[in-house]
Order: sequence, then C-alpha cells, then structure tokens
Amino acid sequence: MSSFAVVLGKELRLEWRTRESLAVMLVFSLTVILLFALAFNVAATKIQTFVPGLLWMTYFFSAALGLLRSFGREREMEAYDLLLSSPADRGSIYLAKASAFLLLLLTVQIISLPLFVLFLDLQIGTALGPLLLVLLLADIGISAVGMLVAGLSLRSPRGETLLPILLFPLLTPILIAATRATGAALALRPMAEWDMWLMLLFTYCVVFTLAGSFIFDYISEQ
Amino acid sequence: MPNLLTLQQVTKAFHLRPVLRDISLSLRAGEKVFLAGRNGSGKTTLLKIMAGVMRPEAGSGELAGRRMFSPDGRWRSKMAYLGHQPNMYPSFSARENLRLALRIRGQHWQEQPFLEALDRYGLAGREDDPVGTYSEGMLRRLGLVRMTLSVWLLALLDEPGSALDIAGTQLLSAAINQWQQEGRAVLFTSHNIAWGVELADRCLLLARGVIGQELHRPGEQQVADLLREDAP
Amino acid sequence: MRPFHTIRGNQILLLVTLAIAALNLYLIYFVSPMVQDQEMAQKIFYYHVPLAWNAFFSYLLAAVAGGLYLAKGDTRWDRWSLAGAEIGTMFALLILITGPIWATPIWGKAWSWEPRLTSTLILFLVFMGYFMVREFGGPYEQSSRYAAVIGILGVLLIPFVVLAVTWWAPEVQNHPQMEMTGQPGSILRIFLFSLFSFSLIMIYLIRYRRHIGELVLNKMRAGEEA
Repeated sequence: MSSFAVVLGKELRLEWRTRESLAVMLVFSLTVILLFALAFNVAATKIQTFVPGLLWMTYFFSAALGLLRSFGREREMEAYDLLLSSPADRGSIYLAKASAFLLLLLTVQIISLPLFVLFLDLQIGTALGPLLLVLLLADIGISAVGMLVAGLSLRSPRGETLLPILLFPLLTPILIAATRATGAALALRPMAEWDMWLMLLFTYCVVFTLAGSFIFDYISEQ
Repeated sequence: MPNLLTLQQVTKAFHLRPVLRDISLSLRAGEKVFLAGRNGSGKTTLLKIMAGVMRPEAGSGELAGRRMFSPDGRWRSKMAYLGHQPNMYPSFSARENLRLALRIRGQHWQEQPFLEALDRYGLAGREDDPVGTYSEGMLRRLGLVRMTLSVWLLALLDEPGSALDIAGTQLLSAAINQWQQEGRAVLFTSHNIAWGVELADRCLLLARGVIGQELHRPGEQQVADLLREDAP
Repeated sequence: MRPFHTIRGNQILLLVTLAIAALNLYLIYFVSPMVQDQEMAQKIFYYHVPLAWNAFFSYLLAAVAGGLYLAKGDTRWDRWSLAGAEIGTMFALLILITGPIWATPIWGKAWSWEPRLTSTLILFLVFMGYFMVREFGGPYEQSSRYAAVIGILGVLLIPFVVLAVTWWAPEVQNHPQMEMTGQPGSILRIFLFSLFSFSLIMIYLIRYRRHIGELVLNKMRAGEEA
C-alpha cells in the first residue's frame, strides 16, 4: 500500500472512531447559522442577498475548527513523529491529510446544506449541480491551504491562535469566488456568465496543492 | 566492518543557542551504544534529528549507504525510532496503531507475529483496547512490540526503560541483546546509568552539545563521575 | 560588523537617494502641471503608484529570499526575506494611508473598497501573519522557516487576490493609476522620475533593514555564548 493510502486510511479511521471533528463542525455550523439568522432577523428581512456569504462564512469557521482538531490529534502522544520518522514521503503525507480533510468538509456541508435550505428558505432545485461543483472546488482549495497552515500550527507553541490569523487572509480569493459563484448558481444564472469564478477556484486549487506538496517537507520537521 | 551510520558535524540550535555542536559519530552493525548525558544535554534532540523528526541546521550523515536528511525519505526505512512519548494515537487500539506503524514503513501486516509479540511483552488480550487506556509502562511495552515487528538496521530508543517495571526492564534488555545478535545496531538513552553501562558495548557522553567522551565498557561510577563533573 | 553608514557604498547610496528624493519633491509640487478638477489631490499619484511597485518588489524579495533560505538553510537569506517583508509592509501601509487621503476629497469618502486598495489590505494581512509566525512560531530556526513559507504563499496569492477582488465588485471605480501611461509627457516624465526615486528609497531601506537584521542575529548569538 502506498503511504498516501495508509495515511488517508488512518485519518478516516481516526475520524470515524470518535466522529469528533464531524460532530463539532456540524453543531458549530448550525450554531453560527442560527446566530446569523437571529442577528439579521431572517423572519422579517429579505436575506437572500446575504445567503451565499452567510453559508461560506459558516463553512470557513467550521473548517478552521476542524483543522484545529486535526493537528491536536497529532500532538497527543506525539503521534505525528511516527509519521515523520517513517520512510513515507512528506508530500504524500500532506496530500493524504488534505484529502481526508476534504472528505470531512464535504460530509459536513452535505449534511448541513438541507438544514440551511430549511432555515434560510433557499430555493435550490436545479441549482444543486452547479452548487456542488462550487463546494467541491472551494473545499479542495480550503483543504490544500488549510493543511499547510495546520502543519505550521502543529509545531508552534501558540498554534491555536496562529491558525485562524494565517488561514483566513490566504483563503480570501476562495471566499470571494465561492460566494459569488454560489450567488450566481442560486439565482439560476447560466454558467457561462460566472464560469470565471470556477476557473479561478480551479487554478487556486492546482497552484496551492502543488505548492503545498513541495513545501510541506520544510514545515513538518521541528 | 563498514560503519552502518556516520554523522558528520551535525548542529542544532534553538533560538541560536546551540544544543548540538558539530556532532560526529559512527555506529557499526551489531553495536549497542548508550548515549548518556544530563537533563538538557541534547540526547533527545540528537535522536530526533537521526529519526528525521527534527531538522539539523548543518551537518550530514549516511545510514546504510543512504544520504540522511535528504528530501527523499528512503533513508528512514533503515531506521526505527521509539520516542520518549509513545508516538501513538490514543483512540486507536494496539492493533490499529501497530498496523499503521508497519504499513507506513511499507511492511505487510501479519496477525500471528503480532499476537506472539504481544504475548511475550505481557499484553496478551489487550490488542483491541484503545491505547489511551494503557498505563505508561504498557505503552512502553507496546513500543517494544512495535520495534520487534518492524524491519530496521538501526534502532533509536529514547529512554526505553522509563516507567518499566523489573520484568519489563528485563524484557527490554533481552530484546536489545537479541537485536544485537541479529547484527543490528541500537542507540539508546537512559538515566539509569547502571543498567545502561551494563548493557552497552560503548558509551557516548553528551555534554553541552558535544560528545565529550567515548568509553568502551566503562564502570557505572566512572560514568556517574563524568556526568557530575559536567555540572554547570 | 562595520556600522552601516561607515561603508562608502552605503554613504553614496544614502546621499544620492536623498538628493533625488528632494529633486523629486520639487518636480512634483512646482514643475508638474495641475490636473483639472483634482488640483493638489492628484499629486498623490506620484507617490501612490511607486509605493505599490515598492511593496510588490519588497514582497517578491521576501518570497524569493525565503525560498532560498528553505533550500540552502543560510540565515543570510532569512535576513533578506525579513527585510523584504518588513519594508514591503511599510509600503503597503503607506498605500493604505495615501489611497483614502486621495479618495476623501475626490470621491467624498475615504474607503470605498477600491480593488487595488482591497488587494493591498489582504496582502498586508497575510504579511501580518508572517510577523506573527516569526513571533509565535517557536524557536528562531523553526519560525524563520515557517515565515518563509508564508511569504511564498503570500506572493503566490497576489494574482488570485487581484483577479478575485477586481471581478468581485466591477461596479466600483478604480483609482485612475494605470492611466498614468496615457498622460501627457510632462506628467509621465515626472512620474517615471518619481518611480526611480522611490525605488532608490526602497533599495536603501531594505539594505539598511537587512544590516540591522544581521546585527540582531549576531547579538543573539553573542548573548548565548557569553
């Protein structure tokens, strides 16, 4: 088995064992949506223009929470040193961890999306296909940069505070592209009008995944 | 006999304070080497660098003919590291942790040798318990099971004897002796000087980031005196 | 290490930079023609665009030197990277200050999410992270490596930020910076001279900052050995 498959399997099994990150991220997403809805008084106002931003802010925050958990697990009992002292290539450790996190993000979003539809009175219908495409591309970008930042935070004494400060500015292009694309998809605009956002997301994913797999070796060791 | 491992001028600093200065050492196959030093002398740092967990600022090394510290991680396949911490995932069972440890080294998982080794180290019947429920001594024993099942030429053991009871320490000594007889090399640290000097062929004294003395089969008193002299 | 200003090359650089900067000020305020409607407010573009170039090149230096530091492990590269990041952030901050100064009289409000200012703000925040990592990222040997990574990611991010922010709000008006090239020769020549003057200021500042960085490292080393 390749080291990629071994680490990916380990990440998924570890998450499945406790379902800790999944539960935390789901409950957190729901809470944030509730807070937003109360703060903006959804019942009385036309909230539709805010919906894409609301959705993505929620996903961003819950992603940060999941990343914090993902390196917390490597810190306990210094389990991370087992991966690093193995012959496994650091690039494939990075790719495996990012892939596992991508699956986690998608799971959280697919479970929580119907609830958002209900709470925020969204009309998804035929927008579902394009919306899933946006989710997938944005999540790849979030995972690629997120795992790098988590790798930095893991070894830093004050990693918990560093993570959000480093993560969110680096993700701003994703936030812009994802909210715009989500808005266009929900408004059922023809894709040709907004495919530049998909291209931007796609290029971001390629560039930062490649950069991550080269750079990870330099941040994994103490 | 050619050296299994050579380190040349390995240097590591924290906040520009040198922890290891120009460490050069070599190990041959079939050697048991005791790395002794006071608290904070850099023993753990040296082992972590050799394990690929820490990055040296300078220096080079060769392990079984492969260049160490290179981005290509294949050199690490000849080495196995048992850290001061267990290096395991608490929510995984013993079996899951060991299966992961072997697979990531590119080895195949075999149930039978695992159960036998578990039995030998007194952990039979605990294979499905999460290791988070293990005591410190049991985690040490499980670490030894991991070393037993892994394929390597050089073992790096950081305080393998801590938290072990008398029976556990005997199992550890026996394991190290057996590995030596198989022609493998073991580098270990310990604060139990009597145990260390009795077991080892050679003792390296690490003081203030340099290997000050190299002694062949020293007496316990000799090592203890040298360590005391080193007091700041 | 010899004090920075006792080195002949640095003395010359400083004098030339100051002389050119003084001449630049004179040209901007007394020679360049007034632009209708904007009056003095337009003068800020003789600063604004060169500042943006300087910020960009300084950040580029932070990333390239950071990459070399990762590859070679030589702390000299780390000092260059830190100098680039710090001076770049200073220029970015000046952009963030001069932009609203111009916008207040012309557009009637200080901050209107103009794309280039927004991009600068994002990059400024990324490099705030760079300094946070240096501060809180563990021992110097580790945090300097991490900072190099953030610098590289930050510069890779620039095209994405610029594109995303530009497409994000197409209705928002750009500051008319690029139109500089289409200006009459009397304005263009002085603008190019200003660009040259500011580049000299950047080179001087980065060299000086790097020198200080080396001093700090030497002091840390000496302190530990004493």
